Amino acid sequence: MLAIKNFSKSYTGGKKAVDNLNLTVNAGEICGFIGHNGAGKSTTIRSVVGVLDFTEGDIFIDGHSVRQEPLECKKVTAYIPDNPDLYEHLTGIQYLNFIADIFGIDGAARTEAIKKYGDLFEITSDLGSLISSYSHGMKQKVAIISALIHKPKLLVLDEPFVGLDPKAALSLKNIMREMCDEGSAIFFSTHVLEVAQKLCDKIAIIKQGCIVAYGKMEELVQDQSLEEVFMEVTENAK
Amino acid sequence: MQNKLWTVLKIQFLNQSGLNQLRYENNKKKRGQSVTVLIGITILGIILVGFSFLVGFGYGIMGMAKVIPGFALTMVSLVTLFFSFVKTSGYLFAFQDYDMLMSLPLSVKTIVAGKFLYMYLNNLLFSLAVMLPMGSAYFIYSGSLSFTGKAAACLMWIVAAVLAPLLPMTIASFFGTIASAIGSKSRFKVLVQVVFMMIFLCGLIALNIFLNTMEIGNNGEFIHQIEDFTRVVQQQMHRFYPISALFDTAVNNQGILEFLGFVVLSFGVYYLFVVLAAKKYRAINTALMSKGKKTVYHMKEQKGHSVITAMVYKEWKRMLSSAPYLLNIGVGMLLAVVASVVCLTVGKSMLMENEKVFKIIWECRYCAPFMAAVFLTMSCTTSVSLSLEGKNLWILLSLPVSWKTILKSKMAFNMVFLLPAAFICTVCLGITLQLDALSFLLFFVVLVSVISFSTVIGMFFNICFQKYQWENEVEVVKQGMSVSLGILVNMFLQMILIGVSMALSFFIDGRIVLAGISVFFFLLSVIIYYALLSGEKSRIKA
Repeated sequence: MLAIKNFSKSYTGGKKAVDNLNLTVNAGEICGFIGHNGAGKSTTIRSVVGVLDFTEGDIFIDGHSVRQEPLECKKVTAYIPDNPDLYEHLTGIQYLNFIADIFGIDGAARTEAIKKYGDLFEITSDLGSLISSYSHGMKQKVAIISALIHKPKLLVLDEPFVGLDPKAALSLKNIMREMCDEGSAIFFSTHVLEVAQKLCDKIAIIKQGCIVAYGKMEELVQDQSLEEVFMEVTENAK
Repeated sequence: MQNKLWTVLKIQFLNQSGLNQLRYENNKKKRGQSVTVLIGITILGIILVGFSFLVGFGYGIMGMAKVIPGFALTMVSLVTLFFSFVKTSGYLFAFQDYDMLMSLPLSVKTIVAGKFLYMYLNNLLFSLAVMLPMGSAYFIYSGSLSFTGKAAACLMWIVAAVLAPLLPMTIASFFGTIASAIGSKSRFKVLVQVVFMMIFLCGLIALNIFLNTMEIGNNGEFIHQIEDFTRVVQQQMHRFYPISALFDTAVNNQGILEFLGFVVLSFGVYYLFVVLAAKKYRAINTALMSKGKKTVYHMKEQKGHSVITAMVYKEWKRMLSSAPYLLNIGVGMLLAVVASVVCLTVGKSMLMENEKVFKIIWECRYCAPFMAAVFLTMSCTTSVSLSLEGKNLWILLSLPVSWKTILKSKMAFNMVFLLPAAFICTVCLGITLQLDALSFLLFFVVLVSVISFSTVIGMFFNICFQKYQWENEVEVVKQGMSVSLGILVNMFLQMILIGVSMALSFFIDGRIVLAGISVFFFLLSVIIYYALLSGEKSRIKA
């Protein structure tokens, strides 16, 4: 579903934020993406979802190139950023309708989806208020609902659990698992290694723009914790 | 307090002036953009300086040099008053770094003064660019003054140029504060603020019309008889802006007391405002930045819309959510509508009374749509709407919408926003000028054509000068390069069109001129439209 091939991203001055990154996430898989602050996680994620432009390597979503066919890729992708800067002048329901309109979801389907996820995240009664009045966690919940509303084949999340209350975090984990069971792929970054270990089928560890460990969770971790593996790998890597 | 005030002022300057980007930006493109903006501002400054000098020079040639001091001060004050009033919300109140500043060991008075003085610095440049060249023209033609008189007047002029923005800024901030205070108590904060500000602005226009009508009504004959036209102009200026009388007397008659009165008034009112605003500052900001009443939403059946409709609706909500956006961009449209309605109500009866005046205006009737267009094209949402995406840009970039769709929706919104106003202007002007059906239609068509052009050219400027990193919307809707260029180009163009239509209609039927101009601008708009759409989404420089 997601294939990142020889992807590099340089910023001004030639400094490489990401260097020759390769990974794949198949349908039905959850892939965790972990690394220190500034390691290149968000740069990779933002390039995958088409927010950042890049010139080296390519990224394929559902067989389409992000560089050549960005719209085809975006039609099957949903993205939840680490800081959900939503349109604050819209109410929650207006924002969700806006996203549903962009994805061409009919009235009945969107009503059902908004009701389902709104109730699950206990935010339905707040959807009539302006987003500017929401807390960080509420914004995060609206961002999550907007991502799920069109049943994406690929869900990309950047630090999705930050700001969520424990119940909402659990609901999100369940949804992620359900989506994978239904054939979607999930690629997400996190600093919460316990969650990553429990949730992910695959893991990619990035350090200074380079992948230093990548593979199936059980093969990578074996009898250790992910935290131990992470510390070992990141300290030993050059 | 002074050290801290200086620090607050310095930080704001570094953060918002773009100087830091110029010095430390490594990205060559962004740096280039900052340099372009700086060059653009410099060019605009030079034009303003030249224009001001020529205006002063013109008065001098006509032997009306004594008018210049009052005129210069009135002009600076009026422009400052208008722009400061629009800026108060979002600059003095409810600004993004409010929490940060208020949590620091700074007195509220220091914060208010810091914010106010930063606004003052922006206005000071404008004041200097107008006052100093006009002053130069004044001194060239003030031959009757002695050397010491000239030296004293020169000193007073320089001090006045520095102080000129203080009083109008304070008045504007005072009313802006009242607007914010009233708005803060309402659920519809933005709407209340905008309505209050509109009433204030319309009040200013009405006052001006009232004063001028009074002059014509009561002393019409007097004006024709009086030989000292200079004095009449001075009197009108003083009536409109009484403070200009102090400066006028100070410079023309070396009135030290009047000058001291001007200085004390400027400083005194400013200080009083800071002290008073500081007392209610926290309360107003808290209310303005409060999260609003919580309403319980009950899930209802939702309806779908097309992508363009959804995006145009988003633009509409964006505009309604922001007082600076609505005021800055909406003011041109409002002025066009108000002026047209005034023409219909007041103008028609005045025209009918005076056959000669009516005949002159009748001869020039085909430039009327371009006069409306001067104001209408000031309201160009496309010159700012891309930059206003700001931190929400990720949404547009990650959604499956093409570059074409984004631009189409932004341009469609501008047309939807301006066409009803264009229609009202056409109807009002058409009835006032007693036009035939074809001219009526052509008035509307030519307005649509120039609005189309302003839409695409505004979009073009915003694509060239994208700015997503801003602390305050004012930086985009008022100080942005794209909006400045949009207004200037459109205004300049309408002036040319007024001249062209007036000149050509002496030789050929004015309706043919309007039709020709319409076709030209429609064609030009279509060419620019397709050139813009041919780009890629990667042209958005996130």
